[in-house]
Amino acid sequence: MTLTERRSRIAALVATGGMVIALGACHQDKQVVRGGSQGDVTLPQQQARVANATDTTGLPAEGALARVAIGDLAGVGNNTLDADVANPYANDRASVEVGHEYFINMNCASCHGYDLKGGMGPDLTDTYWRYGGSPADIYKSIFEGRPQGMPAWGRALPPAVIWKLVSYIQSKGGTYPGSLADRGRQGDLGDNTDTTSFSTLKGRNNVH
Amino acid sequence: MCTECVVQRGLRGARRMTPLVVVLLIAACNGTTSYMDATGAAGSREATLGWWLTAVACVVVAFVSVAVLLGMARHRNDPHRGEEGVMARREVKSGLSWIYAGVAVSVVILAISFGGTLAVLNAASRPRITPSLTLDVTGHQWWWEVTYSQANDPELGFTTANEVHLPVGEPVRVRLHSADVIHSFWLPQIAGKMDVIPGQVNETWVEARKPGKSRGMCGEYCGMQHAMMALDVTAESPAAFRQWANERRAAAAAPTTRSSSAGRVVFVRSCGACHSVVGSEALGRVGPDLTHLASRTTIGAGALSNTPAHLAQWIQDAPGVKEGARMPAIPLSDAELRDVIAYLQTLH
Amino acid sequence: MNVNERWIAVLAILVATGCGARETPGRGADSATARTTTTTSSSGDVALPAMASRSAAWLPPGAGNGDWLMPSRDYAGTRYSPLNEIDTTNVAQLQLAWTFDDGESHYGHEMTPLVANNTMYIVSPFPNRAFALDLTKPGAPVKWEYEPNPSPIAIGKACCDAVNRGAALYDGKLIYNLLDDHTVAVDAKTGKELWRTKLTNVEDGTTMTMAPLVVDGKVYVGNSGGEMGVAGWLAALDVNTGKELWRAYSVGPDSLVRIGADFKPFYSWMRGKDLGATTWPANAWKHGAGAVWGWVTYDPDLKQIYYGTSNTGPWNAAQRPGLNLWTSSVFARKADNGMATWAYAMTPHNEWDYDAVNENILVDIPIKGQTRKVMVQFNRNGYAYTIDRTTGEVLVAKPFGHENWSSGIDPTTAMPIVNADKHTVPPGRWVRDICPADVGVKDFEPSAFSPRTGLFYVSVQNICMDYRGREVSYIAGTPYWGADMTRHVGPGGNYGEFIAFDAATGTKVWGIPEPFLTYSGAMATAGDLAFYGTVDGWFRAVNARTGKVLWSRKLGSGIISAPMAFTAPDGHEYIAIAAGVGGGAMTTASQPGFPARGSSYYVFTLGQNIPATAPSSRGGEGGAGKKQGGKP
Repeated sequence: MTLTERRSRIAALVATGGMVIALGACHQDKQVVRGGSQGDVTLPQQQARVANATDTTGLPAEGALARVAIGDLAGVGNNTLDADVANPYANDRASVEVGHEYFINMNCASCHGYDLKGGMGPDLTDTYWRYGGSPADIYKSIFEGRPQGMPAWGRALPPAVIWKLVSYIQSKGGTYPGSLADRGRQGDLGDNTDTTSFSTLKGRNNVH
Repeated sequence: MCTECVVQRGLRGARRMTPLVVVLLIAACNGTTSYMDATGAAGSREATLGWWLTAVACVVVAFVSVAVLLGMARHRNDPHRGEEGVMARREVKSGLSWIYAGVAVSVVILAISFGGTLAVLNAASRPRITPSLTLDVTGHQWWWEVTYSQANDPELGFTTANEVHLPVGEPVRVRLHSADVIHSFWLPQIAGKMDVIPGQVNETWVEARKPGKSRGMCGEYCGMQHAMMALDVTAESPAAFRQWANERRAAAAAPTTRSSSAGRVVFVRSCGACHSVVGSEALGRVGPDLTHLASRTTIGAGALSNTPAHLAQWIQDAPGVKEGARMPAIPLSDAELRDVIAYLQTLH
Repeated sequence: MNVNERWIAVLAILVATGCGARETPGRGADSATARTTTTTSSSGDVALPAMASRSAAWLPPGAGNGDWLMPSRDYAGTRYSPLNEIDTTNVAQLQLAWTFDDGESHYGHEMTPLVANNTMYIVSPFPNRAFALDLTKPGAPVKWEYEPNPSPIAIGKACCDAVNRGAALYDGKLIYNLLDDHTVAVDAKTGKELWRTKLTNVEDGTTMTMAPLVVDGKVYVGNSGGEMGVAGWLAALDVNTGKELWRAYSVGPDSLVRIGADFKPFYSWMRGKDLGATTWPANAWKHGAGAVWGWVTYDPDLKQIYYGTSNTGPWNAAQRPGLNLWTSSVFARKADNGMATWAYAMTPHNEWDYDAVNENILVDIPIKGQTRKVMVQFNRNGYAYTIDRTTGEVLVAKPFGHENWSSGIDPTTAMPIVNADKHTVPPGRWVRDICPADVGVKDFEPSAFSPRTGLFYVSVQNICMDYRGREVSYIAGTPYWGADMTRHVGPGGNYGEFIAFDAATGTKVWGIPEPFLTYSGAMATAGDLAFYGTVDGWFRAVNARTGKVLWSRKLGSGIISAPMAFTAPDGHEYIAIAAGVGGGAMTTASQPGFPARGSSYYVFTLGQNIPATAPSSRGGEGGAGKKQGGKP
């Protein structure tokens, strides 16, 4: 055979040998897998994502949440502390789905209904909220528990998960943004003079 | 048709094939996940069939290659090389008998292969005796829930995760459930694959014939971490199996040190909603059962080896280790983390 | 074989099959024409000799004919009043005498008022206030009020409304349970708390709603929480101190269930050691439920108590293979030490939430010509069981309403034969049209027995469900359920029916269909009347023999409690009933016309006994009620 043929043959043998060694030495590889979180079609860079437990970037500060009161403020009257607290996962489809899964797996659905219309616990789709219906109020109710049997989940679930539960509840339409929390406390959500309010919300008040 | 060209093509083909065959052989001999190396009742038969077919293929390739080479060698100095129709004009005295021989050999080999395949399928379709032990395997994204039970003794049932122990020589019935999407249950060294399909319960059986450790895996793409869904398979003598089962059935012992006792409190509070440790008040079923976590070699269904440092890494940021994992990052203080790892290490 | 031989063979086969055929259970009482059916199968007073021979030991001490000291009036659970001033001839003249409102309209009213010493005693739903009404004064003003201040956490742990099913009067004490797992005894004269015993922690999900049985110096109480993953139990407390004497669990090893050498179940599949643990996966019994939230009855001759246990936890049966004893079962126990004498599981490996806590009425009735000491339970699963209360043998088991989950009870093993298409396992898929729904063909609402007719008077439910099981984690304080379901009305379109049933033969004698659920208890009286109420608020009196409705009144809310009859200080017979819808009746709350909640007690008597103008009560001690607080 010619020199080129010989060279190409040697090259092929070397390539084969290399492949054999690579595969033959196969053992547990650490898989490098790319992609966004499960079920999410947006790229990781485009969403607020808590990288690890100590990194709470993007989540409302626990201190700010602790200051949000259920009622009005003594000596001053109006409580607008809710207004600055937003749910970083609101309207995020993946977070709503995760929240939905936790809602079932943590037995929330057994008390509040798989359709969230209530049962042992109150209806979460209407606009009546005994302890407030802003994202901060709902976060606190889940985190702290409430007197008539709502368990406290603050130590059982990480903050990111509780915010995703809030996202899920928000997706049902009964909640209102923090900027309207003060009016919610005063019973003014359905005020006809303000067209940006919740006057279009279904508003079956459900006293338990 | 120029002989030289044919020769070149033939040699090229042979060159291309050789690495493939060699690679396959090496991959097949790769130990714990090698189905060609299988030792289970069904698996070993399937492996035998695989080897037979491989051998037949190799023999055919070898024979044809030799025949082609011989033919080329004979015509090396043929003055009529390169002319059209040369080969066709050459008379072959024994031509027809070659065809008869070839067909006969092929038919015999095919018949043997066909019969062998049927025999293997038959052997793999059902166990030789009715199994008394049942394994309910539920495929989750991305871990395996494994529940052992016995028909008339429900109290002998217990649940574990990501590990399968099999008594040698006893067939085990396997029922497959899916918690979410399609997976496939595959213990390559024991038996073939069976899909795990949501909404129905597939049934198969496995029987180990030789003691030893191997690795099972998910055989149907089920999402981002499909590759990280390993099963620790141990085949052992029936006596050793029953001892293992008794240990698994037992509740976790109460922790004795201050750190592990504190760790149990942290565990029940922060982990118990999803994980279960039988004997404590942590009885969650969302994630794997951890009652005997300390006796597992890996965590995260093969993501990390089971060491305290890896446990800390996993607890603090499981999605960082295994992207897409359903377990969220759990915020614990350093003391709580130390205590909970101390507790987890008592869970033998 | 020649022709003749062939014919003989055919004939022989026909005869053999005819004789060998078992009595197939009636597959659902058809109520279409039952309204005017008259009974000929039992004549009047059939059981009267057996009942009349019952000693005073069958009644709480001190109970006169006009008194009602416990929810079922007697220890046998008959809910039969010997008063006959009001009878079939004059009941149409029944008028409202006065009402009382306990102010707790948030929750359902399941309690039957008690009357003794010219005082009526009422216990409200959460927060479980007790009231004593002075019947000697016009308008029955409040004599004293007791506020126990139970923990509001209990409200969120009660699966089926924050109800209370009643109290018991014994030896001058009013004894009842608080929702937050305390039992209290209150001085019946003054309303002062005498003792208060905590039975368990309410945060774990246990509550208490049942009416205690108090007899022979002991108070028998049980827990609720079949949906919360509790371990069910019945405890005995000392009536004078409230100290716990023993506790018998419904699940677990024999030592916890109080099973010993005296335990002799009739059926072999219930004999064995530690069945309360071995019929479960390891440790699963600890959250297996079997709560004791229903009625307890007592036989003073045999000195045994009878009660049932709730459904199995979780509802998703795939998580608990095995027979799951002793849930959905009835127990017979020695009243003094609680050791079980026999048990019978009505729905082993329960997949549908069919509790067995319904009342076990103890009667002596003739069955196939022989008088037997039996207990009769109208179970959630749709079968009316007549069981020998000395041995636990099932004598009759026939459906008393529409059910399709089972095709019968096997006569040799007494196990139900489940229809293959009504299994709710494996979970994760919808199983359609299971009848009855989880609330059963009859829920806790107690039936009544008349010794004059020998019949039982039962509120029957005609409701079905679509059910999907789900895997569920036990998280303490949250429901341990695992089911998604919707309910709908059963065949015929009527949610309710009030029937008269012959437990000796297992046949319905007559029935009154109702468009709304019949979720009320029943009462039978010596005036040959039966009383019941509907969920849309109709309170009716019917002829106990024929089923003809003789009197009806629409009350302010739905009726989910049982009526009672008493003799007032004026010597006349009065009938009392609470109207406050709630509880399990809320499963039909979307029915058009469903009433609002209520909190009133209505007291009726013959019109002629009601003065035209009642004099108003003077101010001072006469009218104002004395409040007695309790320890928080």
